[in-house]
Amino acid sequence: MKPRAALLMILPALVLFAVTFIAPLLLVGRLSFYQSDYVHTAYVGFQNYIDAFRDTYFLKSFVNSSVMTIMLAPLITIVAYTVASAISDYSEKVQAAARFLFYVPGLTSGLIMGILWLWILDRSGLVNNFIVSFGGEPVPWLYDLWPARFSIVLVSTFSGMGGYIILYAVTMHAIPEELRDAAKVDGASGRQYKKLIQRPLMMPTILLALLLSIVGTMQLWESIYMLTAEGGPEGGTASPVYEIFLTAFKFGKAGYAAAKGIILMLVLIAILLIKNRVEGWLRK
Amino acid sequence: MKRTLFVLLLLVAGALAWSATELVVLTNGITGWLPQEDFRGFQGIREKLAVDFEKAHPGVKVTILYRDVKQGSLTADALMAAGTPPDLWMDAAGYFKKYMNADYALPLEKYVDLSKYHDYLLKPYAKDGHQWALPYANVLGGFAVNTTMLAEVGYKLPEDIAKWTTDEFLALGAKLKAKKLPLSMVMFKGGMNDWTFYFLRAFGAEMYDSAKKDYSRVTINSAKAVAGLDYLKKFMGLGYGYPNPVEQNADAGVELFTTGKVASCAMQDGHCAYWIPEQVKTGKLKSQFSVTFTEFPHSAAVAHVPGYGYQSIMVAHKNKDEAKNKLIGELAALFSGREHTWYNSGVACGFSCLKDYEPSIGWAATSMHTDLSKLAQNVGLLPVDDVGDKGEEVSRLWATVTEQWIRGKVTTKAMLADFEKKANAILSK
Repeated sequence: MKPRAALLMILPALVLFAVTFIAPLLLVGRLSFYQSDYVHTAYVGFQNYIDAFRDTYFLKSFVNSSVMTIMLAPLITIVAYTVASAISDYSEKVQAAARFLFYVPGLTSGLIMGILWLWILDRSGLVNNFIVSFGGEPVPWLYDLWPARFSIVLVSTFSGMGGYIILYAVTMHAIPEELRDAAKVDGASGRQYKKLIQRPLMMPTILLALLLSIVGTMQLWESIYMLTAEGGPEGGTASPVYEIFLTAFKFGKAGYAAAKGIILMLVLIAILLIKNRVEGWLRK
Repeated sequence: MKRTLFVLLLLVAGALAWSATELVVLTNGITGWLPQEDFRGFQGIREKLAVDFEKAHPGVKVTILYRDVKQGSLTADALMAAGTPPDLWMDAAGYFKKYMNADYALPLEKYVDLSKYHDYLLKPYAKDGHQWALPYANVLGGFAVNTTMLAEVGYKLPEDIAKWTTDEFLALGAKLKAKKLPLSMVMFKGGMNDWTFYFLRAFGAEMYDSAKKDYSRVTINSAKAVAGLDYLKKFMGLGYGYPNPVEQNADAGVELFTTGKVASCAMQDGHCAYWIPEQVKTGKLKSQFSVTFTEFPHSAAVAHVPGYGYQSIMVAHKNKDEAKNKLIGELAALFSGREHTWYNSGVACGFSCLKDYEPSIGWAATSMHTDLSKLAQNVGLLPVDDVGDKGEEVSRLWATVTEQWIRGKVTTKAMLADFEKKANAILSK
C-alpha cells in the first residue's frame, strides 16, 4: 500500500484523536496559564503551577493516592492474577462465564456502586450489623482515616477487578500451547509450569496492571464523592482528580484546576516512563 | 397541492422556530403546587409562568433548566465554561458572588420596579449604584425543638426565651439522658457545619467581625470561641448529644430530628414541614409531634443568639441585544412576583421578599413558619457573610481543622490559631 493511501485511511481516526484529545489538551494547557473563574480571565504565567506546588491539599492528595496504591496494587494484582490463573484451568465456556461475572461490577456506574457500598459500610450498614450480631462493636469504616482508606481500596478492588482478570486471562490465553506441552514433556508439574513459565511471561502484563492501578487510584472520584465526605476524614482519602474537581467546580478556579490537571498528567507520564524502564530491565 | 401546503407550513414553522428568541432560566430544586390546588395540568409554578410569559410575548420561548442540587453549582459552572450562561439564574445567594458585577450581570434597576421589594433584602445585592440581583425567597432558619419529647420528661420551654441559657440547656440534657434521649445534634461530618456553629454563637463567637462588616479576615481565634468549643466538648462529654458526631451532617440532623430520635436540631421550617408527615407516611415515625422554632440557648456573655437567614436570588446575564435585555428584565420581575412568592411561601417555606404581600397558605400557615417569623423579628438574623468566592476554600479549611479538633488531635487554642492564620492567608490573596 502506498504511504499516501495509508495516511488517507487513518486520517478519520487521526482527526477524531486530534479533536477529542489533542485539542482539549492544548486548551487545558493554555488555560493553566490564566486565572479564570469562568467570568473573569487574566494571564498569570506560571503562578498557578507555583500555587499548586504550595497547595497542601493537592500535595496531600498525591500522598493519599500513593498510600492507597500501596494498599490497592498488591491486593488487586494478587486477587485478579489468582482468579485468572484458577479459571484458566477450566473450559472456554466456564472461563467466559467467570470473566463476565467478575466484570459486572465494573459495568455499573461508580456513583451507584458508591450508594451500594454506603449501604454496606455505613455505621448501621450490612457489615456492622454482621459484626454486632456476633457481639462486636461497630467499626467506623468511612469515618476514621485508615478504615476509610481501606474501604476506598476495597470498593476500588471490587469495581476494578473484572478488568484486571480479563487482562490477565487474555495474556495467559496468548501463551503458546507449545510452551505448556514442552514443559509437560520435560516433566514439569502444573504448579511448576505456572511458577516458572507462565509468571515470567506475564510480567509485562503485571507491570501494566500495576501502572493501571496507580493511574486508577490517582483518578478516583466517585467512591470518594459518595463514601467519604469531601475526601475525608481530614482530607485523608482525596485523590488528585478529586482535588481538581473541587478546584474547578467548588472553588470556581478553572485556570488553577487546569494547572493541577497538567501536573497530574506529567506525574502519570513519569510513572509510565519508569514502568517502561523497569520492563526493559526485566527483559534483560 | 396538499403536499405543497404541508411543506410550506413546515417551512413557516421552521422559520418561526429559528427566529424565536429563547430565554433560558436555570433554577434549583423541583417545582410544584400545593397538594389541594389544581393548576390545569401545569407541572409547576415556573412552567406556568413561562407559558404566561410566552403568551404575552409571541415569538419568545422560555426554557427552564433544573440544577441537580446534590451537585452544587456544577450545572451552572458547566454552562459558564461552555460560554452559554443562562439568561436568568435563580438560586441561593451564595452562588452569585462573582457574577454580581458589570462583566456578567444585567443592572436590573433599568428594567424592574424595585419599589415592590423590601429594601433590606435588595440592599445586599446592590453595588456601584446598580441592582445586580433580585431576591425571590427569604429563607430563615432557627433551632427546632420537639416539645412533645420535652413534655415527656416534664420540661417546658421558658415563656421568656431569653431565660433559656446554656446552663439550663445542660440541665435539660441531664433530664433527657435519664430517659436515654439525646438532646441535640452535634454535626462534624466533613467538619463542623453551620448548624453546629450555634454552640459558638451562644458564647458570642463569630467567624467574621460582622458588626464592622469586615469580611476581609476571620476573627474566630477568640476567648469567646474557646468558651463555645469548651462548652460543646462538655456537652458531648456528658452524653447529651447524638453519638458519633463525625458521622453526622445536616441531612442526618434532619432525618434524626424528624424521626423523633433527637430532641432538637438547627434547621429551616421547610425541613420539618415536609419531612415529619413524610416520616409518618413511611412508618419511620409513629405519629406527628409538636415542634417549635426558637432561639438557641445563650450564655451569660450574650443576650440573644440570632437566627440565620439567606435569600434565594436571581441574577440576569446581560445581553448585547437591548430588546432581549428588556425581556430578561420582565421575566425576572415575573419570576420574583406575587405568584412565585405565593408558591415559595406555600410550598417551599420561603418568606416573602415583597413589601405588601405575605401569603399565609400551605406551609406558610403553619405555626413553625410563624415561630420563625417572630424569631427573626425579636432576635434578629446574623448578617450573611460576604467573603466572595474564597468562602468555599475557607469553609474547607474550617472543616478539616474542626474534624481534627473533635478527634482530639489538636487543642482548642491551637486549632483556632492555625485556622485563623491559614484562612486569613487565603482571604488576603
